[in-house]
Amino acid sequence: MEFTIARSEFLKALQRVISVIPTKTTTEILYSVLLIAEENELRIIATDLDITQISWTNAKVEAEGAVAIPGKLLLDILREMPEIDLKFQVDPNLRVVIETNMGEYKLAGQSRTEFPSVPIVETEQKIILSNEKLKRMIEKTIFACSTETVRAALTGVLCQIFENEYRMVATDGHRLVRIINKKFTNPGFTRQFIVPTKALNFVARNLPEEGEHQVFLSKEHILFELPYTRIYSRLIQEPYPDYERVIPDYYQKEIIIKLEELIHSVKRVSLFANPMTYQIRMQVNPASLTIYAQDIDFGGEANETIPCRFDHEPLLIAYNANYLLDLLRHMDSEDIRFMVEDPDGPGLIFPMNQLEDEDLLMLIMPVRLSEAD
Amino acid sequence: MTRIILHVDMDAFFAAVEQREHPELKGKPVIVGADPKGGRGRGVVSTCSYEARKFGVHSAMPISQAYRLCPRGIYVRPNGKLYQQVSGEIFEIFYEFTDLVEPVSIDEAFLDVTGSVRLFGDGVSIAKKIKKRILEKEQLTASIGVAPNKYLAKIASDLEKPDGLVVVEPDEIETFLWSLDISKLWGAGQKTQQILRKMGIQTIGDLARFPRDILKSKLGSAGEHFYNLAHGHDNRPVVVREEVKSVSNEHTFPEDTADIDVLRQKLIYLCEKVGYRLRKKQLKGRTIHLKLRYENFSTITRNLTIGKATDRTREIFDIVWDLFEKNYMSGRKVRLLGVGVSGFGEAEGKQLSLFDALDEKHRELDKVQDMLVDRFGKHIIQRAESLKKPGKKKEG
Repeated sequence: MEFTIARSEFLKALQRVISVIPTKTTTEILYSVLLIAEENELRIIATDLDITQISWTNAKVEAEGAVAIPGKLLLDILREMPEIDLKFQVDPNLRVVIETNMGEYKLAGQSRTEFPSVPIVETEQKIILSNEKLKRMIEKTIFACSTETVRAALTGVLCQIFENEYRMVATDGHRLVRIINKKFTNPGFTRQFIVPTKALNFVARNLPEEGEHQVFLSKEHILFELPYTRIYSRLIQEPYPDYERVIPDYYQKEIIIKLEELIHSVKRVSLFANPMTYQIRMQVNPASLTIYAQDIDFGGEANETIPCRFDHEPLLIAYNANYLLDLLRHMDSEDIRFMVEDPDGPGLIFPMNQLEDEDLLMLIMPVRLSEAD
Repeated sequence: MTRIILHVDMDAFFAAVEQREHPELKGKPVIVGADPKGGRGRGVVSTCSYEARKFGVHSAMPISQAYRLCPRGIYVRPNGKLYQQVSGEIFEIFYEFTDLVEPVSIDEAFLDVTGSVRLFGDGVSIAKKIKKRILEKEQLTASIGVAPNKYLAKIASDLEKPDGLVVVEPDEIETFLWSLDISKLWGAGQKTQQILRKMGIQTIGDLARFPRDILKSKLGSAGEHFYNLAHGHDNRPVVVREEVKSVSNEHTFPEDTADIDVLRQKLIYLCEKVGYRLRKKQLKGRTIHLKLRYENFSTITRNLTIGKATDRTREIFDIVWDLFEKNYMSGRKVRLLGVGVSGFGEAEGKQLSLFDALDEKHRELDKVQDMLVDRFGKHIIQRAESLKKPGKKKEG
């Protein structure tokens, strides 16, 4: 195996896949990337067994072949190099020599047979998504996923292909985001599947601003075809809870409020909340919303009042400020509609003006106040 | 009835705490406050040690001025968290003597000990005991004024600082008060003092002898107030802060002990005390605290929050004992034990979960299904999903 490549090309291709390498693993080989030189192309593969990413770039291939070498070491050496060409050679004993006009670096490689194989995804089930839209949908959902592995389904984003819409849903049980892409051409089938957040993170990172990309689905895997890279991920094979049932559709009471004002007030007031619970209370009156926090243990307290529109009986409701802020920060509308029916029921948050082709809904569960309040 | 009011004021509190934490600072001019930045610093002195006061440094003075007066001083940034914690410990001592404690600031409080006399002796004895406890427990000194009211107690505590103890007996009010300069008049700022001095009033005695009507016409209702103060009249009660944050009691053993029976007995005793105080105040709390200090002063605090607020000794003890058993390093000698209950009022509410409700519904459903099956047999009701024929399963 032998190829020549410009340092920057090599680095760029490696950087695309490098974060797939697990930080801690007992399977040594996963610390390596697999390099494949074929037909004037260099392919780099990294995997953590759940996610596999391939990236490719042009190279002048003198002898085809493949080798696995430690990814971090390769990244470090490429980073430290000035912008020069380098020659990469592997002898039959898998001894790797990287040669530049400054000198040479030698290390031991491993056989490609040691490296886990790339999953096979049939190209039968294919969907086409707009890059910009998917990026937006990922950003609006992944933060709301659970990090607790007890409920594996909630650690991923539920994707649903319907007749004429594409949905993504994320929840950790305390808050939920549902974003619907209404401008969606059905690929000829309906299906739902759960994609791990880690994979979506990599996808978002590699998505260009414009254009479209293809997604292929097999029973157990999903494959994202992106420019110069391909991301394979195992799907989470757990039943997703019936989220539709917990989104109320009978709500009447609506608070209309300036998003920025609410975020800033909640941020300031929550600094005085108990650092264990981050509990804040919201007193909603017809023309104003007062946010309170109190930390009994350390004696801090704060309140702020901001204008709002609300045409119903005053209401007192408590939330975990962190959950609320997480949601609000992912809204991008000047005004929001905050719908609540009673202090124990979910709160629904919508942008005042939805995008034309989109339906965004966020939901937050309150904190039940004790009788003492 | 004549009240016995104590005003306890810690001596150079922040600086003293710093000196305690860093023994190398003892006997040196320690200035707690803003960064002097070689004399260019902004901000002020928050507290300074008595050694620094000899250089003319005092609290609220601009830090740059302090630096000019005492460039060799040791300038320390305040460690609010630490002071707060020490303050908490000191207030705990106050509560050993009375529940009527009015905090004035982090290092200052009024105590009404009128009702504690039978238990702890007269005002002077209580003041001495408090000073001794603070010194023993926290290695800090306080100055205390003992008087029939807050105003006199406040003046008294200031007279012999540091480590002072001044008593104003009800029949010595005039001799005590009247020789003092009007700058000691509580609530009279620079402006009021100027007005009074223009009227020829230099001492509190001058003020007391001044015609009340003229004072009133010059100073309004404040005139009347100052006149009363000058005569040592001050009826304001010691106001306990309405919101009690926690109720706790501690015990320092006369001799460090690792005897599990002794420790257990003491915990029961502390729980009884805390429970009693809770019931007296009609408070119920949800967080139970245990404090454990070993002979080498290493201290652990553990707490547990329970679902339902309690004021019952037994419940508190069960939890405290559990915390103790889980955390006590068997065989190590204990210096101090403490038990506390907090989490009144705004109980930390329960974070509701979306799928709790769903689970709840499932439980309800199961209950109904079980009931129907019990009565009519297992085919009477089935989930729709379970009716799907095998083989026609939808993809995914």
